[in-house]
Amino acid sequence: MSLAVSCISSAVANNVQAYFFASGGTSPYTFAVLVGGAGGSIGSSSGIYTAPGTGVGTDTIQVTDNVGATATTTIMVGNIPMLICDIIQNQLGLSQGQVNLWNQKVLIPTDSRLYVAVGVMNCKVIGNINRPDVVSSQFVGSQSISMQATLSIDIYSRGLDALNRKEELVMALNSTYAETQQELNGFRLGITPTSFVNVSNEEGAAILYRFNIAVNVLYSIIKNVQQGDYDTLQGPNLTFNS
Amino acid sequence: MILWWPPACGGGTGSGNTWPADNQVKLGVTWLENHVPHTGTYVPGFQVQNKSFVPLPDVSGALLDWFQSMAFVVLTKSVVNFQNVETKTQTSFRGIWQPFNAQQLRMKPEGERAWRWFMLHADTSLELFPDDVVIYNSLQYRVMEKNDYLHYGYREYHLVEDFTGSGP
Repeated sequence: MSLAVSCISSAVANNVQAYFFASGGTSPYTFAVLVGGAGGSIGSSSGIYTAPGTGVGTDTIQVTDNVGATATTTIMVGNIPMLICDIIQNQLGLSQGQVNLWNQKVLIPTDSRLYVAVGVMNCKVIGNINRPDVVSSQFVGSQSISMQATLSIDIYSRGLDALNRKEELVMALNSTYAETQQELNGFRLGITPTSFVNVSNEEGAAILYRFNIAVNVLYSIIKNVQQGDYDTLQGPNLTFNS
Repeated sequence: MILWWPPACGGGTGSGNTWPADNQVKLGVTWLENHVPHTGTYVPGFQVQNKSFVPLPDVSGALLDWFQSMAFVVLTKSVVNFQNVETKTQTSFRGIWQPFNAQQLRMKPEGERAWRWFMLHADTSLELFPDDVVIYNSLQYRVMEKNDYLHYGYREYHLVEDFTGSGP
């Protein structure tokens, strides 16, 4: 059996840990993150990958077995809308390029395949906690923010796919993979609306079928901070009582 | 319509068609329209230049002498990690760049006449599509119209200066 490396998730949020598994080949296995990616790290023997604290991108994970054979796979590091894009792409079996984030520059299809655009309509701060602390006379701490965002998801095609497959969009957001991703990455999709809004007339004859649903998502972001992150706390006379 | 009569044309028959007599020369156009099938074929001894009779020839050879060397930076869009990413590609071709004339501008709806419209005739190595964005001489332009005369050896584009600076 040939060597392979896999992970239950194909995308994770910042600071999230994910487990990579090797199969085939000859154990023991050694894991490594190839340079030039998003900047995550991995335990060489455990296969526990830790996503970088900031930024988005793709890391390539390489596993090497006992006889020097190698196999690679990739994991994307992204924000919550990107993770929802990943869920939709994964569950609908779409290719790279068929799901994109709406930034007022949606990719206009030139073929009859199915396309999905995920955009953020609005987001509301529902909690913001700052937890400063001092360890060994050094200022450390963490700050978390909890948000409720409303995502606008468009499914569209020049062919009949959007008309025929729009229900799969709801099923994707309620899939086992979606549940796994929510658990792993600390977000929660709200109750999915049952109503698709037909916005087919938006693009006229260019895109014949276009439907929209709005989905609520709750998520939190945690940022670890150090003294240097606060300009007002920098200075030679600053002391802390631990 | 332009007609070149054969030097010895004075009436007669040939290839199944009855040639006009001298007194019919002035009526040659009508005679041709009545006797020449509209299939682009020629009457022996006659050369007729008219769209209704013959197709437009491939004029790429003549146009290449008229065209100038030009270079565009074409902005194309792709999706990487679900995000739209713009990439710039340098492309060289031969073409002619000219502003719209007054009559072309008058045909635009009110509000668009003040835009900076340009017309580009280019060789067939350049293929742009409506809504493509290009950079030419450090200014950004958006393709608004494409007229494909590929069979005749060129393409015509209408572009407008894109002051927004936004990509495709």
